[in-house]
Amino acid sequence: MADRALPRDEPDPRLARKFELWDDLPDGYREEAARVSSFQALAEIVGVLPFAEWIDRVPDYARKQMLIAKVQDEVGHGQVTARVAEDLGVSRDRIILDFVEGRTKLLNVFHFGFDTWEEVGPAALLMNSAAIVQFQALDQGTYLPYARALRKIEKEESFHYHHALDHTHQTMTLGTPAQRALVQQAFETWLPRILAYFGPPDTDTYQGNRMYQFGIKVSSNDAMRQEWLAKIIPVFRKLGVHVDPALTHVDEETGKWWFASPDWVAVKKMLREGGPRHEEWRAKIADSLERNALYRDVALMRSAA
Amino acid sequence: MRPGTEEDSYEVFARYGKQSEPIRWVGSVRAAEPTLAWHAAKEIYTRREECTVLWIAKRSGMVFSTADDLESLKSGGRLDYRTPGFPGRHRRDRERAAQGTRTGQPSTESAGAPS
Ligand SMILES: [Fe+2]
Ligand SMILES: [Fe+2]
Repeated sequence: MADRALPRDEPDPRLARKFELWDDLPDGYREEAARVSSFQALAEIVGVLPFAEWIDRVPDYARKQMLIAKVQDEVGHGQVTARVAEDLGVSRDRIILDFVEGRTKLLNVFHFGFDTWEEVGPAALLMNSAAIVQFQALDQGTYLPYARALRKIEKEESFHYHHALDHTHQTMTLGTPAQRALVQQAFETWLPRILAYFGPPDTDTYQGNRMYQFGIKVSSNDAMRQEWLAKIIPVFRKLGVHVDPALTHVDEETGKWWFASPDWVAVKKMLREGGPRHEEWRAKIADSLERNALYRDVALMRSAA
Repeated sequence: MRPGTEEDSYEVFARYGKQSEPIRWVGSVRAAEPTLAWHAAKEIYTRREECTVLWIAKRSGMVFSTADDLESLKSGGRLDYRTPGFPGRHRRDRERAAQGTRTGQPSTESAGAPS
Protein backbone atom coordinates (compact mmCIF):
# COMPACT_ATOMS: atom_id res chain seq x y z
CA MET A 1 0.00 0.00 0.00
CA ALA A 2 1.44 3.30 -1.08
CA ASP A 3 1.70 6.18 1.29
CA ARG A 4 1.71 9.87 0.52
CA ALA A 5 4.75 10.51 -1.61
CA LEU A 6 6.22 12.67 1.14
CA PRO A 7 5.38 13.38 4.75
CA ARG A 8 3.09 16.35 5.21
CA ASP A 9 5.72 18.76 6.49
CA GLU A 10 8.14 18.26 3.62
CA PRO A 11 7.44 20.48 0.63
CA ASP A 12 6.31 18.41 -2.32
CA PRO A 13 7.94 19.67 -5.53
CA ARG A 14 4.78 18.70 -7.44
CA LEU A 15 2.87 21.34 -5.47
CA ALA A 16 5.48 24.09 -5.55
CA ARG A 17 4.24 25.92 -8.63
CA LYS A 18 0.71 27.28 -8.26
CA PHE A 19 -1.55 28.57 -10.99
CA GLU A 20 -4.18 31.26 -11.40
CA LEU A 21 -6.81 31.29 -14.13
CA TRP A 22 -4.88 33.87 -16.12
CA ASP A 23 -1.49 32.13 -15.96
CA ASP A 24 -0.12 30.14 -18.85
CA LEU A 25 -1.32 26.67 -17.92
CA PRO A 26 0.54 23.50 -18.91
CA ASP A 27 -1.03 21.48 -21.72
CA GLY A 28 -4.08 19.64 -20.47
CA TYR A 29 -4.07 21.39 -17.09
CA ARG A 30 -7.13 23.49 -17.85
CA GLU A 31 -9.17 20.39 -18.72
CA GLU A 32 -8.17 18.61 -15.53
CA ALA A 33 -8.95 21.64 -13.36
CA ALA A 34 -12.32 22.02 -15.10
CA ARG A 35 -13.00 18.32 -14.63
CA VAL A 36 -12.35 18.29 -10.89
CA SER A 37 -14.32 21.49 -10.20
CA SER A 38 -17.34 20.60 -12.32
CA PHE A 39 -17.38 17.09 -10.85
CA GLN A 40 -17.47 18.55 -7.37
CA ALA A 41 -20.14 21.12 -8.32
CA LEU A 42 -22.39 18.28 -9.43
CA ALA A 43 -21.68 16.25 -6.28
CA GLU A 44 -22.54 19.24 -4.07
CA ILE A 45 -25.81 19.86 -5.88
CA VAL A 46 -27.04 16.27 -6.22
CA GLY A 47 -25.60 15.47 -2.79
CA VAL A 48 -28.27 17.60 -1.12
CA LEU A 49 -31.14 15.50 -2.43
CA PRO A 50 -30.84 12.61 0.08
CA PHE A 51 -30.82 15.23 2.85
CA ALA A 52 -33.40 17.61 1.41
CA GLU A 53 -36.11 14.97 1.44
CA TRP A 54 -35.71 14.76 5.23
CA ILE A 55 -36.45 18.44 5.79
CA ASP A 56 -40.17 17.88 6.21
CA ARG A 57 -39.71 14.71 8.25
CA VAL A 58 -37.18 15.86 10.86
CA PRO A 59 -38.61 15.08 14.32
CA ASP A 60 -36.98 18.09 15.99
CA TYR A 61 -37.25 21.80 15.26
CA ALA A 62 -33.61 22.82 15.88
CA ARG A 63 -32.38 19.90 13.79
CA LYS A 64 -34.74 20.92 11.02
CA GLN A 65 -33.17 24.39 11.04
CA MET A 66 -29.67 22.89 11.00
CA LEU A 67 -30.62 20.55 8.18
CA ILE A 68 -32.01 23.44 6.12
CA ALA A 69 -28.78 25.38 6.77
CA LYS A 70 -26.75 22.39 5.65
CA VAL A 71 -28.75 21.98 2.46
CA GLN A 72 -28.37 25.69 1.68
CA ASP A 73 -24.63 25.48 2.40
CA GLU A 74 -24.27 22.58 -0.02
CA VAL A 75 -26.06 24.45 -2.79
CA GLY A 76 -23.68 27.34 -2.08
CA HIS A 77 -20.75 24.91 -2.42
CA GLY A 78 -22.23 23.91 -5.76
CA GLN A 79 -22.26 27.58 -6.82
CA VAL A 80 -18.73 28.27 -5.67
CA THR A 81 -17.25 25.22 -7.41
CA ALA A 82 -19.40 25.82 -10.49
CA ARG A 83 -17.89 29.32 -10.71
CA VAL A 84 -14.42 27.76 -10.81
CA ALA A 85 -15.58 25.48 -13.63
CA GLU A 86 -17.38 28.31 -15.46
CA ASP A 87 -14.25 30.45 -15.50
CA LEU A 88 -12.53 27.47 -17.13
CA GLY A 89 -15.23 27.30 -19.80
CA VAL A 90 -17.65 24.71 -18.43
CA SER A 91 -21.02 26.34 -17.75
CA ARG A 92 -23.24 25.24 -14.89
CA ASP A 93 -25.96 24.47 -17.42
CA ARG A 94 -23.64 21.97 -19.00
CA ILE A 95 -22.68 20.44 -15.66
CA ILE A 96 -26.33 19.84 -14.84
CA LEU A 97 -27.36 18.77 -18.33
CA ASP A 98 -24.48 16.30 -18.60
CA PHE A 99 -25.84 14.62 -15.49
CA VAL A 100 -29.50 14.77 -16.45
CA GLU A 101 -28.74 13.36 -19.90
CA GLY A 102 -26.56 10.60 -18.47
CA ARG A 103 -23.13 11.74 -19.61
CA THR A 104 -21.62 12.10 -16.15
CA LYS A 105 -21.53 9.65 -13.28
CA LEU A 106 -22.32 10.38 -9.67
CA LEU A 107 -20.05 9.54 -6.74
CA ASN A 108 -21.08 6.20 -5.27
CA VAL A 109 -22.36 7.67 -1.99
CA PHE A 110 -24.98 9.74 -3.77
CA HIS A 111 -26.68 6.74 -5.35
CA PHE A 112 -28.42 6.05 -2.04
CA GLY A 113 -30.89 7.62 0.32
CA PHE A 114 -31.57 7.29 4.04
CA ASP A 115 -34.24 4.91 5.30
CA THR A 116 -34.51 6.27 8.83
CA TRP A 117 -33.76 9.48 10.70
CA GLU A 118 -31.39 7.48 12.92
CA GLU A 119 -29.39 6.57 9.81
CA VAL A 120 -28.92 10.20 8.75
CA GLY A 121 -26.56 11.09 11.65
CA PRO A 122 -23.92 8.35 11.34
CA ALA A 123 -24.09 8.30 7.53
CA ALA A 124 -23.56 12.07 7.38
CA LEU A 125 -20.79 11.81 9.97
CA LEU A 126 -18.94 9.26 7.83
CA MET A 127 -19.51 11.31 4.66
CA ASN A 128 -18.56 14.67 6.13
CA SER A 129 -15.39 13.41 7.77
CA ALA A 130 -14.36 11.80 4.48
CA ALA A 131 -15.07 15.01 2.57
CA ILE A 132 -13.03 17.00 5.08
CA VAL A 133 -10.01 14.66 4.73
CA GLN A 134 -10.32 14.87 0.97
CA PHE A 135 -10.74 18.67 0.83
CA GLN A 136 -7.87 19.29 3.22
CA ALA A 137 -5.62 17.39 0.83
CA LEU A 138 -7.07 19.03 -2.30
CA ASP A 139 -6.77 22.55 -0.92
CA GLN A 140 -2.98 22.16 -1.03
CA GLY A 141 -3.30 21.69 -4.78
CA THR A 142 -1.83 23.84 -7.51
CA TYR A 143 -4.96 25.42 -8.96
CA LEU A 144 -5.53 28.38 -6.68
CA PRO A 145 -9.15 29.30 -7.56
CA TYR A 146 -10.17 25.74 -6.69
CA ALA A 147 -8.04 25.71 -3.54
CA ARG A 148 -9.69 28.95 -2.38
CA ALA A 149 -13.16 27.57 -3.07
CA LEU A 150 -12.31 24.51 -0.97
CA ARG A 151 -11.09 26.58 1.96
CA LYS A 152 -14.38 28.43 2.04
CA ILE A 153 -16.28 25.14 1.80
CA GLU A 154 -14.28 23.48 4.61
CA LYS A 155 -15.52 25.93 7.21
CA GLU A 156 -19.10 24.95 6.47
CA GLU A 157 -18.25 21.25 6.22
CA SER A 158 -16.95 21.45 9.73
CA PHE A 159 -20.38 22.68 10.85
CA HIS A 160 -22.00 19.74 9.05
CA TYR A 161 -19.58 17.39 10.76
CA HIS A 162 -20.43 18.73 14.21
CA HIS A 163 -24.14 18.60 13.47
CA ALA A 164 -23.88 14.96 12.37
CA LEU A 165 -21.75 14.12 15.42
CA ASP A 166 -24.24 15.72 17.77
CA HIS A 167 -27.19 14.03 16.07
CA THR A 168 -25.53 10.62 16.39
CA HIS A 169 -24.56 11.34 20.00
CA GLN A 170 -28.17 12.22 20.80
CA THR A 171 -29.42 8.91 19.41
CA MET A 172 -26.70 6.93 21.19
CA THR A 173 -27.26 8.55 24.60
CA LEU A 174 -31.03 9.19 24.64
CA GLY A 175 -32.31 6.71 22.08
CA THR A 176 -34.00 3.38 22.63
CA PRO A 177 -32.05 0.15 22.04
CA ALA A 178 -33.83 -0.14 18.68
CA GLN A 179 -32.66 3.35 17.70
CA ARG A 180 -29.09 2.61 18.78
CA ALA A 181 -29.22 -0.56 16.69
CA LEU A 182 -30.12 1.61 13.68
CA VAL A 183 -27.00 3.70 14.26
CA GLN A 184 -24.91 0.53 14.49
CA GLN A 185 -26.44 -0.76 11.28
CA ALA A 186 -25.94 2.55 9.50
CA PHE A 187 -22.27 2.53 10.48
CA GLU A 188 -21.80 -0.94 9.04
CA THR A 189 -23.70 -0.08 5.85
CA TRP A 190 -21.94 3.22 5.16
CA LEU A 191 -18.37 2.33 6.17
CA PRO A 192 -17.67 0.27 3.02
CA ARG A 193 -19.43 2.88 0.88
CA ILE A 194 -17.15 5.63 2.14
CA LEU A 195 -14.09 3.41 1.77
CA ALA A 196 -15.11 3.06 -1.88
CA TYR A 197 -15.83 6.81 -2.14
CA PHE A 198 -12.08 7.51 -1.94
CA GLY A 199 -11.65 5.63 -5.21
CA PRO A 200 -9.89 2.44 -6.30
CA PRO A 201 -6.71 1.24 -4.54
CA ASP A 202 -3.50 2.92 -5.65
CA THR A 203 -1.80 1.18 -8.50
CA ASP A 204 1.94 1.22 -8.98
CA THR A 205 1.46 3.90 -11.60
CA TYR A 206 -0.79 6.33 -9.74
CA GLN A 207 2.04 8.87 -9.62
CA GLY A 208 1.98 8.95 -13.42
CA ASN A 209 -1.65 10.06 -13.40
CA ARG A 210 -1.93 13.46 -15.07
CA MET A 211 -4.16 14.97 -12.39
CA TYR A 212 -1.63 13.82 -9.78
CA GLN A 213 1.37 15.12 -11.70
CA PHE A 214 -0.27 18.52 -12.13
CA GLY A 215 -0.76 18.62 -8.37
CA ILE A 216 -4.53 19.02 -8.76
CA LYS A 217 -4.92 15.67 -7.07
CA VAL A 218 -2.73 15.88 -4.01
CA SER A 219 -2.88 12.69 -1.96
CA SER A 220 -3.26 9.13 -3.15
CA ASN A 221 -6.55 7.30 -2.55
CA ASP A 222 -4.96 4.86 -0.12
CA ALA A 223 -3.26 7.62 1.83
CA MET A 224 -6.59 9.43 2.26
CA ARG A 225 -8.35 6.22 3.31
CA GLN A 226 -5.71 5.66 6.00
CA GLU A 227 -5.98 9.22 7.24
CA TRP A 228 -9.74 9.05 7.35
CA LEU A 229 -9.91 5.72 9.24
CA ALA A 230 -7.42 7.00 11.80
CA LYS A 231 -9.62 10.04 12.40
CA ILE A 232 -13.13 8.66 12.31
CA ILE A 233 -12.97 5.17 13.84
CA PRO A 234 -12.05 6.48 17.31
CA VAL A 235 -14.94 8.96 17.02
CA PHE A 236 -17.44 6.13 16.43
CA ARG A 237 -15.94 4.04 19.22
CA LYS A 238 -16.36 6.94 21.59
CA LEU A 239 -19.99 7.27 20.52
CA GLY A 240 -20.50 3.68 21.65
CA VAL A 241 -20.60 2.11 18.21
CA HIS A 242 -19.02 -1.34 18.03
CA VAL A 243 -16.31 -1.50 15.36
CA ASP A 244 -16.08 -5.12 14.28
CA PRO A 245 -12.41 -6.00 13.61
CA ALA A 246 -13.68 -7.89 10.55
CA LEU A 247 -14.62 -4.48 9.10
CA THR A 248 -11.48 -2.61 10.08
CA HIS A 249 -8.69 -2.67 12.63
CA VAL A 250 -5.12 -1.49 13.06
CA ASP A 251 -2.66 -4.06 11.79
CA GLU A 252 -0.25 -4.63 14.70
CA GLU A 253 2.69 -5.30 12.41
CA THR A 254 2.43 -2.42 9.97
CA GLY A 255 0.63 0.05 12.22
CA LYS A 256 -1.69 0.75 9.29
CA TRP A 257 -5.43 0.33 9.11
CA TRP A 258 -6.58 -2.92 7.63
CA PHE A 259 -10.10 -2.86 6.21
CA ALA A 260 -12.39 -5.28 4.43
CA SER A 261 -11.99 -4.26 0.84
CA PRO A 262 -15.11 -2.81 -0.80
CA ASP A 263 -16.55 -5.04 -3.50
CA TRP A 264 -15.09 -3.10 -6.41
CA VAL A 265 -16.91 -5.12 -9.05
CA ALA A 266 -20.23 -4.26 -7.42
CA VAL A 267 -19.22 -0.62 -6.98
CA LYS A 268 -18.29 -0.26 -10.64
CA LYS A 269 -21.49 -1.98 -11.70
CA MET A 270 -23.53 0.42 -9.60
CA LEU A 271 -21.72 3.47 -10.97
CA ARG A 272 -22.45 2.19 -14.46
CA GLU A 273 -26.05 1.16 -13.97
CA GLY A 274 -27.12 3.51 -11.19
CA GLY A 275 -27.76 2.71 -7.53
CA PRO A 276 -31.13 2.50 -5.75
CA ARG A 277 -31.97 6.21 -5.84
CA HIS A 278 -29.95 7.37 -8.83
CA GLU A 279 -32.81 7.56 -11.29
CA GLU A 280 -34.96 9.37 -8.75
CA TRP A 281 -32.33 12.05 -8.16
CA ARG A 282 -31.75 12.40 -11.87
CA ALA A 283 -35.46 12.82 -12.55
CA LYS A 284 -35.75 15.32 -9.72
CA ILE A 285 -33.00 17.52 -11.15
CA ALA A 286 -34.44 17.18 -14.66
CA ASP A 287 -37.85 18.15 -13.32
CA SER A 288 -36.63 21.20 -11.42
CA LEU A 289 -34.62 22.26 -14.45
CA GLU A 290 -37.80 22.25 -16.49
CA ARG A 291 -40.02 23.76 -13.81
CA ASN A 292 -37.61 26.62 -13.15
CA ALA A 293 -36.61 27.31 -16.75
CA LEU A 294 -38.68 30.47 -16.95
CA TYR A 295 -37.28 31.88 -13.69
CA ARG A 296 -33.74 31.00 -14.69
CA ASP A 297 -34.16 32.80 -17.98
CA VAL A 298 -35.57 35.83 -16.20
CA ALA A 299 -32.80 35.80 -13.59
CA LEU A 300 -30.12 35.55 -16.26
CA MET A 301 -32.11 37.84 -18.59
CA ARG A 302 -32.03 35.32 -21.38
CA SER A 303 -34.92 35.23 -23.78
CA ALA A 304 -36.78 31.96 -23.38
CA ALA A 305 -35.92 29.68 -26.27
CA MET B 1 -3.94 44.50 -18.71
CA ARG B 2 -7.22 43.18 -19.95
CA PRO B 3 -10.64 44.77 -19.63
CA GLY B 4 -13.23 42.32 -18.33
CA THR B 5 -15.83 41.25 -20.84
CA GLU B 6 -18.35 39.02 -19.09
CA GLU B 7 -21.67 40.75 -18.59
CA ASP B 8 -23.12 38.12 -16.26
CA SER B 9 -20.22 37.69 -13.85
CA TYR B 10 -19.67 39.77 -10.75
CA GLU B 11 -16.66 39.82 -8.46
CA VAL B 12 -17.50 39.83 -4.77
CA PHE B 13 -15.71 41.88 -2.11
CA ALA B 14 -16.37 41.58 1.59
CA ARG B 15 -15.13 42.67 4.96
CA TYR B 16 -15.52 40.19 7.76
CA GLY B 17 -15.39 41.33 11.36
CA LYS B 18 -13.81 44.52 12.60
CA GLN B 19 -13.89 47.86 10.79
CA SER B 20 -10.11 47.85 10.72
CA GLU B 21 -10.07 44.69 8.56
CA PRO B 22 -9.43 45.22 4.86
CA ILE B 23 -12.22 44.74 2.33
CA ARG B 24 -11.06 41.68 0.43
CA TRP B 25 -11.96 39.98 -2.82
CA VAL B 26 -13.68 36.70 -1.92
CA GLY B 27 -14.96 35.18 -5.16
CA SER B 28 -17.50 35.66 -7.90
CA VAL B 29 -21.15 35.04 -8.67
CA ARG B 30 -23.15 34.80 -11.84
CA ALA B 31 -26.28 36.90 -12.33
CA ALA B 32 -27.88 39.05 -14.98
CA GLU B 33 -28.28 42.12 -12.90
CA PRO B 34 -26.39 43.79 -10.01
CA THR B 35 -28.98 43.54 -7.24
CA LEU B 36 -29.50 39.84 -7.96
CA ALA B 37 -25.74 39.44 -7.96
CA TRP B 38 -25.53 41.16 -4.58
CA HIS B 39 -28.17 38.83 -3.13
CA ALA B 40 -26.42 35.79 -4.55
CA ALA B 41 -23.18 37.03 -2.98
CA LYS B 42 -24.95 37.52 0.34
CA GLU B 43 -26.35 33.98 0.29
CA ILE B 44 -23.02 32.41 -0.62
CA TYR B 45 -20.39 34.53 1.15
CA THR B 46 -22.05 35.55 4.40
CA ARG B 47 -23.22 32.16 5.66
CA ARG B 48 -21.14 31.95 8.85
CA GLU B 49 -18.85 34.91 9.08
CA GLU B 50 -19.74 38.26 10.65
CA CYS B 51 -19.84 40.18 7.38
CA THR B 52 -19.72 43.96 7.74
CA VAL B 53 -19.25 45.09 4.13
CA LEU B 54 -20.41 43.42 0.92
CA TRP B 55 -19.73 44.80 -2.54
CA ILE B 56 -20.07 43.39 -6.01
CA ALA B 57 -18.56 44.67 -9.26
CA LYS B 58 -19.45 43.66 -12.78
CA ARG B 59 -16.53 42.01 -14.52
CA SER B 60 -17.13 43.95 -17.70
CA GLY B 61 -16.57 47.14 -15.73
CA MET B 62 -13.21 46.04 -14.36
CA VAL B 63 -9.68 45.93 -15.70
CA PHE B 64 -7.46 42.99 -14.83
CA SER B 65 -3.70 42.65 -14.86
CA THR B 66 -2.23 39.89 -17.00
CA ALA B 67 1.04 37.97 -16.90
CA ASP B 68 2.54 40.62 -19.21
CA ASP B 69 2.08 43.26 -16.51
CA LEU B 70 4.04 41.34 -13.93
CA GLU B 71 7.35 43.14 -14.41
CA SER B 72 5.81 46.59 -14.46
CA LEU B 73 3.88 45.80 -11.28
CA LYS B 74 6.87 44.80 -9.20
CA SER B 75 8.22 48.00 -7.75
CA GLY B 76 11.34 46.46 -6.17
CA GLY B 77 13.61 46.37 -9.22
CA ARG B 78 11.98 49.20 -11.13
CA LEU B 79 11.67 51.70 -8.30
CA ASP B 80 14.42 50.79 -5.88
CA TYR B 81 15.02 54.47 -5.04
CA ARG B 82 11.70 54.25 -3.17
CA THR B 83 12.89 51.51 -0.86
CA PRO B 84 14.31 52.32 2.57
CA GLY B 85 17.50 50.40 1.72
CA PHE B 86 18.34 52.80 -1.11
CA PRO B 87 19.39 55.90 0.89
CA GLY B 88 21.01 53.63 3.50
CA ARG B 89 23.21 52.03 0.89
CA HIS B 90 24.45 55.43 -0.27
CA ARG B 91 25.27 56.43 3.25
CA ARG B 92 27.19 53.20 3.87
CA ASP B 93 29.06 53.61 0.57
CA ARG B 94 30.07 57.12 1.59
CA GLU B 95 31.18 55.96 5.02
CA ARG B 96 33.19 53.11 3.54
CA ALA B 97 34.79 55.51 1.05
CA ALA B 98 35.74 57.84 3.90
CA GLN B 99 37.20 54.88 5.83
CA GLY B 100 39.18 53.86 2.74
CA THR B 101 40.66 57.35 2.38
CA ARG B 102 41.75 57.26 5.99
CA THR B 103 43.45 53.86 5.62
CA GLY B 104 44.77 54.75 2.20
CA GLN B 105 42.62 52.26 0.33
CA PRO B 106 40.53 53.86 -2.40
CA SER B 107 36.90 52.77 -2.55
CA THR B 108 35.91 50.79 -5.61
CA GLU B 109 32.19 50.95 -4.87
CA SER B 110 29.95 52.81 -7.24
CA ALA B 111 27.38 55.29 -6.02
CA GLY B 112 24.76 52.64 -6.48
CA ALA B 113 22.87 54.06 -9.41
CA PRO B 114 19.58 52.27 -10.03
CA SER B 115 20.06 49.55 -12.59
FE1 LIG C 1 -20.47 20.52 0.55
FE1 LIG D 1 -21.44 19.11 3.74
